[in-house]
Amino acid sequence: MSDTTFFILSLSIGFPAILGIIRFRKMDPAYHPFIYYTCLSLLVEVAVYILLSDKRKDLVGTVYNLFALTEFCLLTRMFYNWGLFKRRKNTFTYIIAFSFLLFIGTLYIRGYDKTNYFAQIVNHFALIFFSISAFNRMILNEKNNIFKNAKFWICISIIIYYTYFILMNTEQLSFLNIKRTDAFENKIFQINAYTNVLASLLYTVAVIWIPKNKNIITLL
Amino acid sequence: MDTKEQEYYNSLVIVLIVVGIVLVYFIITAIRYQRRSLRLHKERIKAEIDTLENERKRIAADLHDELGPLLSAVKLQINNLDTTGTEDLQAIDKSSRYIDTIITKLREISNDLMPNTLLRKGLKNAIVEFIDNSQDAYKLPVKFICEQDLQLSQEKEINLYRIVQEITHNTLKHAKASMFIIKISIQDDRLFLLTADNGIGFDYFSKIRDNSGLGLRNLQSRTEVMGGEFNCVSNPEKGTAYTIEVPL
Repeated sequence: MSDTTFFILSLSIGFPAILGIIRFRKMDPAYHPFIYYTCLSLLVEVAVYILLSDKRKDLVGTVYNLFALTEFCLLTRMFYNWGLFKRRKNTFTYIIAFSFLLFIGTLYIRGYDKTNYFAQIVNHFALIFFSISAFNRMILNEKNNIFKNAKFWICISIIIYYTYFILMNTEQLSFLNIKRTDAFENKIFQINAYTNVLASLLYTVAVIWIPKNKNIITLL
Repeated sequence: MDTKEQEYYNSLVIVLIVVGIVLVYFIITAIRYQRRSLRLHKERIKAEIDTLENERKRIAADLHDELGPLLSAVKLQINNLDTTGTEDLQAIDKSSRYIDTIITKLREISNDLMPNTLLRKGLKNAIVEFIDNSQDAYKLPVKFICEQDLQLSQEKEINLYRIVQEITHNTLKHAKASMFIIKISIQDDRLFLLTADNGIGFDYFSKIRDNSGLGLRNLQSRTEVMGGEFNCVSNPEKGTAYTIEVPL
């Protein structure tokens, strides 16, 4: 699969991003971090493609590192908005602080220009756990059709996408010392690309079902 | 790819497929259980509410139809007593007034339990009557806006009336508001009941967490039984607003 095909497939994140931008002002503000996340993902995909076209592969790792940290903050904020940490701001702050320190620490050890897979995998584990908790809460508390619930689609998508990400990228961890050829990398990226498309489609369904902002104080 | 890489890749693909199957199975079972528990939950709540409403109807009817006429008969008997003594006449007069108060109170209790206006003239008139009575008691200006005719089933009318009753009582007793608005509107086959006050507000989640908000749970249950959505926005010092959206 060529770089252009990978790029075209990665643009599928544009569907939820564009739909999110269109619906942004009318949607429940609790979902705003999710829309920022989809827009940022789209920007990163475009930026990485431009960098690879300009033969600036050295910057790709830095872009991915910055994105991974921002992605984690945005999605964690979304879970906080949903009431996952019992609305305790301190818990949210500690999680973000821990993630930041882990990122800086591992970058310091491995080098700033390389993609920080270790911290990403730890963060993705955390996101999967948050999603499972949110999913379980929803199963207990949701009194309407679960398929019309944006939280359901977002949680499913996060669980699937990040589980696959962890499974596929564990071999990238330097301490495992797995030697890789370009053909092997390409095969792995292919699975990554298809998982990406699946996640983007699920995100699009999620954006469709994001509830409207009920600004009822305007009655007064 | 060399043989080792090919083997690694094949193993990875197998792991991915197995994980995929487990995830799909997990999601499908979770959805099935959610649907079953939702159905049971709705049936239980509906049964509870139906029992409660039937019991209220029975007590209201007993008070109104049996105790009311009995008290009127007692009053008639007392007034018919043949006496000329001043003290006796005063006692008869006093007892008669007490009986009048009891009859009025009985009517109020009976009306609170199951308003006649709700059963005979519908939700809109019942809310107007309820607000008039509440305003007299609490001296808080309550504005009720409902510009459309409401054609609802009796079950929905009773549930919506109870919701309005609960929210109004909460606002009048605890909100310390100087204004309270209730609005009912119909848009695209959905009924919207909106209320807002400018009172002291409260922390919705801590009320639910501490299990002290029984009234709030009651509002949620009644909305769920109608297949609707309940929403409460409340901020300390900024007032409270409720939205109840019910399919028609």
